[in-house]
Amino acid sequence: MRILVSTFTPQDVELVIRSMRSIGYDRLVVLCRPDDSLDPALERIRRLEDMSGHEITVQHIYSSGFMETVDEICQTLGALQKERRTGTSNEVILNISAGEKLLANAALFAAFRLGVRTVHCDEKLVKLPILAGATAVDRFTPLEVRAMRAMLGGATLDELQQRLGLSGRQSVDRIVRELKKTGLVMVISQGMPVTVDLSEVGREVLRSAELSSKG
Amino acid sequence: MVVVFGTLGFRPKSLIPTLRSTPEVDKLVFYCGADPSDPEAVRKVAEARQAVVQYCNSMRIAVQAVDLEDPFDFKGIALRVRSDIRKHKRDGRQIAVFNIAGGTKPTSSAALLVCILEGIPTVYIHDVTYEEVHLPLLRMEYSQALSKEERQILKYLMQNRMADTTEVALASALGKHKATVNHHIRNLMSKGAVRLERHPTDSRKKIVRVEDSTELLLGDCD
Repeated sequence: MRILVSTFTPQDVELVIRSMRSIGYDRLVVLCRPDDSLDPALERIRRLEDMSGHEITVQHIYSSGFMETVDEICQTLGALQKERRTGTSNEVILNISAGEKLLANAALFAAFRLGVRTVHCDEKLVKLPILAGATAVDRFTPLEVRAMRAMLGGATLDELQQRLGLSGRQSVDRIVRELKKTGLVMVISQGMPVTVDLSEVGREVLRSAELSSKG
Repeated sequence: MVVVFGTLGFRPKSLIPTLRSTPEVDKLVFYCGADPSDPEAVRKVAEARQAVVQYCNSMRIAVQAVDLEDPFDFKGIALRVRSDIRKHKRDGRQIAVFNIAGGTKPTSSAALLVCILEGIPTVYIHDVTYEEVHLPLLRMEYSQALSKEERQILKYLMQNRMADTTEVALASALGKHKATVNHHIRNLMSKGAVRLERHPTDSRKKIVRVEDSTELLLGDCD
């Protein structure tokens, strides 16, 4: 099933309708703030869908912070990508041209996090360079991802070695060095023993990994 | 040289705090624009632009105001921003941060897209509190998500995008077996990087086209 997910705010109803016209879809999901779902503009979209014998799904986004909004949107997108009830995988296409700026940008961030095909539908339909299924975690080896999980919350290098079940300390040093280079790991204690933890970016990559494996 | 990038709409306060919070700023590059059919928006953006330029002059920060011809042209803005960022990188400038809070929605979103593709530290200013929110961005390196053969195909198609390249012609140009190229094209289609179109004169054949967005993508794959 192809699901069109669009951000929405009443002022941008025409942009949502344009995306409905430009993209072939089986089901429409609208992401909006709770107040906006009462607006007559959304009713207009409901009526259009009703004419084709379908209902729209309205997903309220409650958070006001940027990353919290990203998390909420990810939950929705992830659930749509794989419907647990039926176990089917759906094709999700996200339109970010409508909606308030924070909502649209958070949706874009979420799309990169999960590797969701995304468009910006205004006068022209622009397909964004987000490769379906590709996420930030793809550039790391499974061992590096395990290491990120193992050091979350802080770990000494010895603890890391134990948790990863590695016989040699060199492997741990190499992994930490590589992850530090990409800005995912920070040293939180320089004294003995050295303690490392994930940076904010590292936590974001781990989050992406977790959502990918759930999705 | 430390450079800050930003987008600007009506409110200088959505951009100036980033100049304050970033140490040793030498230059600000910011993007602004308004719908020419909306005189009120034109006036407000002009005022905000002037305020930011004056702030920079007072603080002895070099400033480059980029007036966007169409602040709603998502792709055009993304290409311009990416070009400017790459130029600054090539010139050895350190891009400290990109503030994406201001400007039209397409301007802000286009800037965020480029920041993710280029790995630029990005901040967002909370509408009410003016608090700076640093986004935990990791550069999306699609070179990892594309195989060597897929990158080769995309590069060829980009270099020959005016031509009607069939799958057979592509295989021949790359010196590969048609079945192999077909396999890679199917993968690229599933990733959203290319599409197949009907040949204009021979309906039996299909033309392979890169998606417009691939132009933004391919910089990563160079």
